[in-house]
Amino acid sequence: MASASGSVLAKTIANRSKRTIYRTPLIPRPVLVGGLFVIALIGAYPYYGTNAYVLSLLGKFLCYAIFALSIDLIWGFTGILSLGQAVYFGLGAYFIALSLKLNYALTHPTRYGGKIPDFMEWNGLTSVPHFMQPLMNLKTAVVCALIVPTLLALLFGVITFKRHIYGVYCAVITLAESLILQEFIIEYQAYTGGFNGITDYSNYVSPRFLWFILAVAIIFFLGARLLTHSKAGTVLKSIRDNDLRAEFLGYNVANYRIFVFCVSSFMAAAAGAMYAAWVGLVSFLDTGPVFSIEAVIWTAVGGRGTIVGPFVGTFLVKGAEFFLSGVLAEWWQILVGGLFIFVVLAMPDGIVGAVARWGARRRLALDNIARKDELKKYYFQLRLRSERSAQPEKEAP
Amino acid sequence: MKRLKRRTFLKGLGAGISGILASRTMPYFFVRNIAQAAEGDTIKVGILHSLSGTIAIIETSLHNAELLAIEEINAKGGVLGKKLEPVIEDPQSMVQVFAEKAKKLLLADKVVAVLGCYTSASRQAVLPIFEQYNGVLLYPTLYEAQECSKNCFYTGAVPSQQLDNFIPWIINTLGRKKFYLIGANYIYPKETNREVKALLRKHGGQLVAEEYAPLGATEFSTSINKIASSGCDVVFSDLVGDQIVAFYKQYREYGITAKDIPICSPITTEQEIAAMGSENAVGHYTSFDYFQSVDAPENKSFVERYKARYGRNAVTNAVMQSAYFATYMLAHAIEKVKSTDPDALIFEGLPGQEVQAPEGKVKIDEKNHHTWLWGRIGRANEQGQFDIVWKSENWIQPQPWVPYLYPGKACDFTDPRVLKRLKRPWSEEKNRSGTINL
Repeated sequence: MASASGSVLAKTIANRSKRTIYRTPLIPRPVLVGGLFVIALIGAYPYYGTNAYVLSLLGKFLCYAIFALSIDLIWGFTGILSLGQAVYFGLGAYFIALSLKLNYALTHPTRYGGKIPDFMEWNGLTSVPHFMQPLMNLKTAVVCALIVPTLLALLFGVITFKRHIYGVYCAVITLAESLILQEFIIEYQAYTGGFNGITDYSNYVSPRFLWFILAVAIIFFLGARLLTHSKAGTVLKSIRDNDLRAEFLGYNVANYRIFVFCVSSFMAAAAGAMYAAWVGLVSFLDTGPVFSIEAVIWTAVGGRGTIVGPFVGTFLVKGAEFFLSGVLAEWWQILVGGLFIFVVLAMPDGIVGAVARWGARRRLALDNIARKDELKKYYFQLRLRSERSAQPEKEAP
Repeated sequence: MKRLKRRTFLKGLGAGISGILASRTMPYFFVRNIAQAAEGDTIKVGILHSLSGTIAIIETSLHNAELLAIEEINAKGGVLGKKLEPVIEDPQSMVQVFAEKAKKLLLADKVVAVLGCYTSASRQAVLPIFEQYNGVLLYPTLYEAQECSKNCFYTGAVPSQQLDNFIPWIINTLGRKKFYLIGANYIYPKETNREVKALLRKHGGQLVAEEYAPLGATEFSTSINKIASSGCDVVFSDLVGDQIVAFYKQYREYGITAKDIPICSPITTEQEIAAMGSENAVGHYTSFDYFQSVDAPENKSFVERYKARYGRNAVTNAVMQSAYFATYMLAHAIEKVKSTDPDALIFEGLPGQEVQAPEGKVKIDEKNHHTWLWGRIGRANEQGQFDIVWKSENWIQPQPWVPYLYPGKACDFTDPRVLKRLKRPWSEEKNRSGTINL
């Protein structure tokens, strides 16, 4: 008898635990539906849109969003605040821009009539330096644009994370890294274009390239989701929440950090490479701390620690900039700043975080109702059983 | 009664504010777009100057001068019976944003022309866009020259207009031969100093040293030490922006006066002197096409109108004056061709356009799209103004490529062969970067 009622209880508890430990699917249905809608909206723009400017913005925003995603991976999921992530974005962008510029100069003589980029010429160079020759080949440049920043990130990661440098110190070091690169670019202007940056080369503003960027964004989105949704992703989150405890549990925190930092830098470099090819202009500002901080803001507004967040935040903030900066030229910066403060105060997890929390709360409420029903059923069965067991004992022979 | 909870209140407040913002901005935006699609009763002119960021101080003055000119033109009845409508964008002193906003003005707002840019970096960033989408840019700043673009009209001075008379004047009239060149490390000072050095060779000057400070650096004690010990008798400075203020101040604090070693500059304007305090600039020389102290009725009334519009303490300067008359040139050009078609403006409207500017009569050169300007040399006085010590007898021809450095180089947009090439539809020049083709 006791065992019978016990098994009911165990079953109920098992049922309960099945419900309460709610494992989110790889892609929740609202994200899937909304995502497909947005992808269709962006991908089909060349067919229904007429405004070339909006087309150019879409490609740019997608590159920015991938960059914000790369920051979200290290900051939102692993707790490494990097203010120098633009270094990797900028390196990727510079490799591609240099390659395109070198090729462009071959067919378009500069204002001085030479066949090398104009910034080399006014700095007294007469031919393309030897170490830049390989960049004439665009394929080599693409490989460099993706590999060099990743290797740099690996080096940086080994230097800092293996020495247990993290938190504020890491933020300061990445900031310094960014400033050093900026100084380098401005100082070696014969090779980098210096303060003026690299401009005036053939860029790829075409629907096909927009689709390419979109495809890369989708791949990175799924990749990031797979990574953070896996066991490794759980370890990353535990490092974010309490790195000491994660270390005591036996995980090699430094290696996990280096790994995610390299993945993130790879993404940033890819975003930068596509950005350079799309926009047709790269300058030292693209490697600077201000740009990194801007991307941190997009991530925070969209929702750190979520994969959708960086995309939502980037499109929202940059979109607001597009609407407001023309209409309210003197006010838009204050408005965007106000939006940021509002989001941080009212929704600490960003917009997506707030929506997700609302969804979770709703689910929990539904769950509670279900649980109550479950308990009611249990007590009813118990009573039934006790009533039943009370009667036959007397009737037993 | 239900109690108003803090959280509910905050939520309501947030919703209210965002609602107000949305209702304020969104309809306006859409109305604007509809208006431009319907080709309303205004002619849109883009204004692209940084209102925030590191170069906002000087660029805001250009922005103001252009708005003043547009207001005046509208008060007189506008152009072709329509009012000019400024479409203002703030590129935030960042080249990327310059490029983005230029694209927006051309493609989304469909402006007839853009008045804008200040630094060479920003001009170089937007030029490919203007060439790609066939827009018209009026660029008001003095710059390093050696450039000409079909789509750009340069109303500022080129180095030869400022230096060809200035350097010989320093050598012969001031009697100073040993030059110390100091500049910021980027294209404008480097190119300008290349011309200074050529002029020194030509007129028997002597180069003592040449130094480039990193852009944005404002600490000059080591440079001033070097100047003091170098044995030079004149400093030629093409530092820019905040650096000018820092350099002149530290120069005076070090104890060098304009009587010992004067600073000569092709870029220091009344604006920077107002920022540094006139006592720091007294006695130093600047060469420009325009100073606020120019003694001409057009200038007196321009300064008066500018002060009436932007406050008694506002000062005018050469670049701003270029921006001001460029706006008039654009209006006259539209009147002349009776159209807002960019090709009509580029090939007929703007080249050869003459206007009575505050500095005197000026004209856009038909061949190279630069502007015939006057030459003046000023000595800074106690009031933060310049006493004009020398003035050219005639207006000076713009030479993007000076013959003594680049013999045989020039550009000529009146050459039939060039015209034929440029006017061909979808020619290489028009379609230099990738365009949208479905």
